[in-house]
Amino acid sequence: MKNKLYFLLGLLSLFMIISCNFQIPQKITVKTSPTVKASAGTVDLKVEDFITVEKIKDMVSKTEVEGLNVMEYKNSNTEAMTFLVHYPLEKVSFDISEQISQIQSSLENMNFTLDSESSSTSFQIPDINQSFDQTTTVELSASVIEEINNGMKPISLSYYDEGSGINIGFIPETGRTDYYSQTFGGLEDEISHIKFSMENDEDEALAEKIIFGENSKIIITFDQIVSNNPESANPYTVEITSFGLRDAEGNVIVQNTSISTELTDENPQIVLDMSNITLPTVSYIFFGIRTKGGDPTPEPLHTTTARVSISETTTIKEVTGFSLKEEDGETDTIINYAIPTQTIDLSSFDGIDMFKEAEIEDGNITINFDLPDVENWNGINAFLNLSVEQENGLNVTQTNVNLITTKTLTIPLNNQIINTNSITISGNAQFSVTNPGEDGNPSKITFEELGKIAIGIVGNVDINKFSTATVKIPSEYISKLQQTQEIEVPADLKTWVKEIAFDELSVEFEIDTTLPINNEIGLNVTSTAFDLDDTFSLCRTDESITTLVDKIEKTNFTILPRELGDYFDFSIGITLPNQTEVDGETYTTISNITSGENISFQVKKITPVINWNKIIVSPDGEMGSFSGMYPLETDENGEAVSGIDISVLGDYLKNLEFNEVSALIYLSSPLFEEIMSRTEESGLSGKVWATYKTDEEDLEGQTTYFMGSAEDEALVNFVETPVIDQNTTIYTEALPNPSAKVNFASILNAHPMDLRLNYDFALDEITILPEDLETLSENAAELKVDIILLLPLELNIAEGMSNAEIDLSQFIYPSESEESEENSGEGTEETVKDLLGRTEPIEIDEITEFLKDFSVSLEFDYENNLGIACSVVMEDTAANSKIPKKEFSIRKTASSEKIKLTKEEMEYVLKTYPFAPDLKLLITDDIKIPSFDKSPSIKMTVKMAVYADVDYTLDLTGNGEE
Amino acid sequence: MKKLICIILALSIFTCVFAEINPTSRIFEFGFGLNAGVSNNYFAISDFLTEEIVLDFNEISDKLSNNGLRLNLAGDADFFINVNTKKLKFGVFVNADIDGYSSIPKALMDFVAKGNTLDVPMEDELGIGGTAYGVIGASVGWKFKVGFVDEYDEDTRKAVAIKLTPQYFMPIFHVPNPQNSLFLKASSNGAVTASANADVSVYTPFSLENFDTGEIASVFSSGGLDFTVEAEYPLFKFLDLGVRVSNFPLKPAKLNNVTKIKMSASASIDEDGVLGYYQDELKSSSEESEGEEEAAEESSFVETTYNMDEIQYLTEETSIYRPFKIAFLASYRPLNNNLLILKPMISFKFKDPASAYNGLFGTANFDMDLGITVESRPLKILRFSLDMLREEAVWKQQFGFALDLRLMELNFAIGSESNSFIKSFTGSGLTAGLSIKFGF
Repeated sequence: MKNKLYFLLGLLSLFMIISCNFQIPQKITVKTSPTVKASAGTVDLKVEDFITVEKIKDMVSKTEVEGLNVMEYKNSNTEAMTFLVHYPLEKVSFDISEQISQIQSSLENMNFTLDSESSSTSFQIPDINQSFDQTTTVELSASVIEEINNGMKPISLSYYDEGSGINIGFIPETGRTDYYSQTFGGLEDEISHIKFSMENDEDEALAEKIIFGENSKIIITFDQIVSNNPESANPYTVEITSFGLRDAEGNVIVQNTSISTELTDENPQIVLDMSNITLPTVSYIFFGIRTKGGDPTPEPLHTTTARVSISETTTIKEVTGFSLKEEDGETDTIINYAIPTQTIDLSSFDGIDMFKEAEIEDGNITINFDLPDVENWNGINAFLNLSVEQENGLNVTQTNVNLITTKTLTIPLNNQIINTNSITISGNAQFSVTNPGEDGNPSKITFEELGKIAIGIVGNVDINKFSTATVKIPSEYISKLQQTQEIEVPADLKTWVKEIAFDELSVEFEIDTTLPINNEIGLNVTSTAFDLDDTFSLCRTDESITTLVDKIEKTNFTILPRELGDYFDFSIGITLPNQTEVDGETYTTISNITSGENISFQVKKITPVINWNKIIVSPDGEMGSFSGMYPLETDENGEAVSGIDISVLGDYLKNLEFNEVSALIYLSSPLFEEIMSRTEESGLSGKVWATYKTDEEDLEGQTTYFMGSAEDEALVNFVETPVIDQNTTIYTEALPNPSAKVNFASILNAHPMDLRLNYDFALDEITILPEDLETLSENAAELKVDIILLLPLELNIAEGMSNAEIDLSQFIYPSESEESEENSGEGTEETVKDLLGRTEPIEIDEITEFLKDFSVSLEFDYENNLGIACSVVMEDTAANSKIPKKEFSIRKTASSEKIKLTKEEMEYVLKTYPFAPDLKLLITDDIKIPSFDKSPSIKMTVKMAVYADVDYTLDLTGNGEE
Repeated sequence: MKKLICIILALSIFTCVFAEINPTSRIFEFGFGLNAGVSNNYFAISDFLTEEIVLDFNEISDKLSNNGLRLNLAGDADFFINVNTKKLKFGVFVNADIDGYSSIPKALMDFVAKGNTLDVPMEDELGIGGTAYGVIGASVGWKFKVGFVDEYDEDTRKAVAIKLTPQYFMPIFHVPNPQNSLFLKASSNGAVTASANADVSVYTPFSLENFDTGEIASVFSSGGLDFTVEAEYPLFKFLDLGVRVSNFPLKPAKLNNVTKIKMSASASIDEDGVLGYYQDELKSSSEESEGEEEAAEESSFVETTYNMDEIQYLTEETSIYRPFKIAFLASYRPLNNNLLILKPMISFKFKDPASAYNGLFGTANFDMDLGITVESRPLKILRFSLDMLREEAVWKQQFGFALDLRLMELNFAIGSESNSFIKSFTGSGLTAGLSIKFGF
């Protein structure tokens, strides 16, 4: 059993091994056949993306031409898309009322005011009215003290014994034992009854009474008192221990009991506090002494005098019975006190910035004085000297004004010149004292403030009126006073108008002003164009008149436009009263003017009147002709301008021709029509022609006449010109009948270059009267010459041809300039992109090696709304081409076409550079592209399917590949 | 992950631990085993062992399932020592396990073979992933009787075996499902969009930047802990039932380093298409001819981008669990002897990210293993087995042979495997295993 089982297992294993038949791989084969699909998307080409009004405009005019307009033309008569090209050749208006209106308007709008926000210009005359006040403090008591101190005689300290009638020295010597010594000896005693009087050496009282204030002192200075024997063994000393004054009744006026002053050789002093003390003329000194030492012989010497003075710090409340005299004792002493200068700054006064100077007709300075308690004074004289000055201006002096009796002083400023500098008021006060006074009473003066007198001065400068005032005219306003208006003389006016006759030319001025009476304003009006130069002046003659009116006038004259300059000019100059110029500044001097007055000046109205009565029209060309061309041969800078170049049409439109391109010439002028019918004149005749070249070698060029001929002019009928809005893009109205109509197609079909339209018209002399214009509507006084081209996108196959071809290659193969590496910086060479947009071939061998077969299928789904049925033909003309001619049709509807490229074809296409087969649009029917509102376009979707059959074997043994 | 295969092989075929489902014959044994497998779901081994290998994409596209072309690789090696007493069993083992997979999407194959269809996108994801572990484990099992002795002294008790195996697993690298995608669409309006993206993260216990062999030790410190527990019960003499809970997680492994590679490429043509581009160019050149001489901008209708980020070496912790399984086992002996033993098995697997690509249900969180083993032990020293299993998303048809001389046991197995059940019979993949035990 076991053996059978083992046998079966072994047999099974053997079968398995035999059946496996494994081998080592020698080849690997890859097989697959995918079809990769993709869509190239959809291209929706609309005509409006490529043919637009702007492109047409750019084609017919390389430079900006005024009035040239291109728009779509669409009405019931148009089936194909049509463009309207409007070129206004001439547009001349003979209604010179526009120019006259401009002249009038410019004159009326002249603005002679400085500030546009204000209708008038004004001058502010400063109102100089300024008050001032000040207080001058006069310390007169110092003079009194000085006078008393200087004049007071020394005090005799002698003692007069009335009993013996002997003057003896009042101070005993200690060393003496005699009577005096015993009588007065004692070492300490009081000495009194020594007379002290405020008198001079002539015993004249210097003051009867002085009432002292605070901090008042008198100083007693002793002269040399004691002179000891130098050899004395017991020197003699005297010490003052008290000092005082008593009145005649023995009452103590003042005393100082705490003194310890030794009388030495050095002029010792004793000070008495006199604060609030009343000192009479005569008083009596008393004082205590203490003596020591002394030798009997020789007797020490001692003096008997002392000098009394009032300290300088002393204040005096009142002094009575004194005088101030010079040394001669006769002449009164004059005490001067300078009054601080008062300055009035005028810079802040309104109008001072415009003000220069003025002569005062009515003005003064008023000053009020204030001296305290002057009613109680006696024997006091006080005078004031005053000056009012201004640099280069005011200069007034007032002297000896009695301050005691004068309360108010008025200084007249009439006829003084005042300017803008500051006014200074300066002066001095003079005091003198006489005792007794004029009334015989002793002099007396009281001081409100201790020892001082405050002199109050309150003044006012008040100027009411100027006889003349000079103010500055701002420089920016000077230019306003002289203005010129220029209205361009239209070139057409010179071209077309020979003469203009006028009935009247006047300019009336209306001026509002508050200038004082008789201040004259000057006016000057000039015009070269109108041969005018007139000057006049005007002024107010009455206060009730504030508006001044006057005018210049010229009548019955003519002007010749062709002799005019570039402008109709008018210059108006205004001169203000007494206008002068000094150092580059301009001033006006106004008379009879009140201070503070605001003077206004306004040119309220300028009324020009221009009336013409005749215009003679005659073009300035030979025999009254006018001519022109489009485009002009030179631009406004003088650069040459080439004509219209539409030769490029020849590249695209082979065997395709425009059927009809209407060139409509319109000449219109209701005015001329009216006048010619009235005068039975022959009217307008001329010719219109085109010049162009068919190619570069056509040196002589071609000429095609649309109207008239080289020899003859055609009579032109005036017609109605269509009204074309420059801003519209679509014109839908029917065009009126033109003066002339020609077919422009033959010229376009010649694909011309340097194309110009020329015209030449002759016009007899015509006289236009104002009434001719009055009966016509707006713009009817114009002469207009317009050309309108109607360009339909309707092309026919040329006669005798069965079809037409449009070469698409130049669209498909745009060339790009690339810098040549070899000639870097020196030049360029053109690199052409081929049909696949390549600039080099594609190496596909490594790809095709794996491909047994592959093909590309292209499916074109399109919707054609262009009105064109055509075939697209691709033909590779290369000698070794492997691409047969391929063609697919595009119908006028929606459809689908397929093209298949085999492996061989695709390999050729991909390997070949440049692959640039001829691509043509083959057209067999006439083309009529519908209008924009039908959205002419072609929409095409391209789908691509790439089929690849891969069957590639890799031989692992290295013996080759399949 | 393939460790499970090893364990199952060990348990079910070679290393019969004990009880009747997987009996053992030695009290002490040690040994080692090797297993390897490679499979795909389309090609047969014989397709490559022929003179000319033919890659016919048309045929591949036609016959390939919607799951795409899959390739699985697995291998493991282990060493073990077991002590088997009558009631107690002990064992330790060391295991190294590596597996990986890749998936080429069906859509890509279809495109290569047939091309595309307008307006129909070709989009799919390219799957690739893999993990390697080292595992150290120990097992302990005991056997005890349950039941009773009836009043007639008839012993109705039956021996129940329970085994607990804690395992310390150490990831060496881990590549989770990367985000790799392909997209291609050609639209009728002319738009074309093609894109490819790859975002691959490789988690490792050490940084691959400036790698130093000394860092290998970090593998041992980054491991996780899980355990397996299984129980067997002899319902009848001819039928044993078992249940096994594998990889019950206790602690996840932690990988702190990640190497990231990101790439993307795209090419597109916008909806205007090539013709739209040329139409615009034609219009603009037409406008320029009007005088607007603006500088022509360099432009192209194809917009292409290509990005490849620099390889990033980052520190980023990720937690790794091994897939958790619950398996139900049986051992049926219809002849009531060992000549014919049928061992069916069904297992429910959770938390395996690879299941999103190769699972039966296409979900990342759930998959099933199942199969049956037909075993015969005509002699005590001889054992044959035939396995028809689906394990770790691979179908296997395997023949096993064991020679047990008690002192030494040799186990050998070889089979065919594939992701496709059908292909697993045709040799689309190969699996082989060998183990040797010594003991007494």
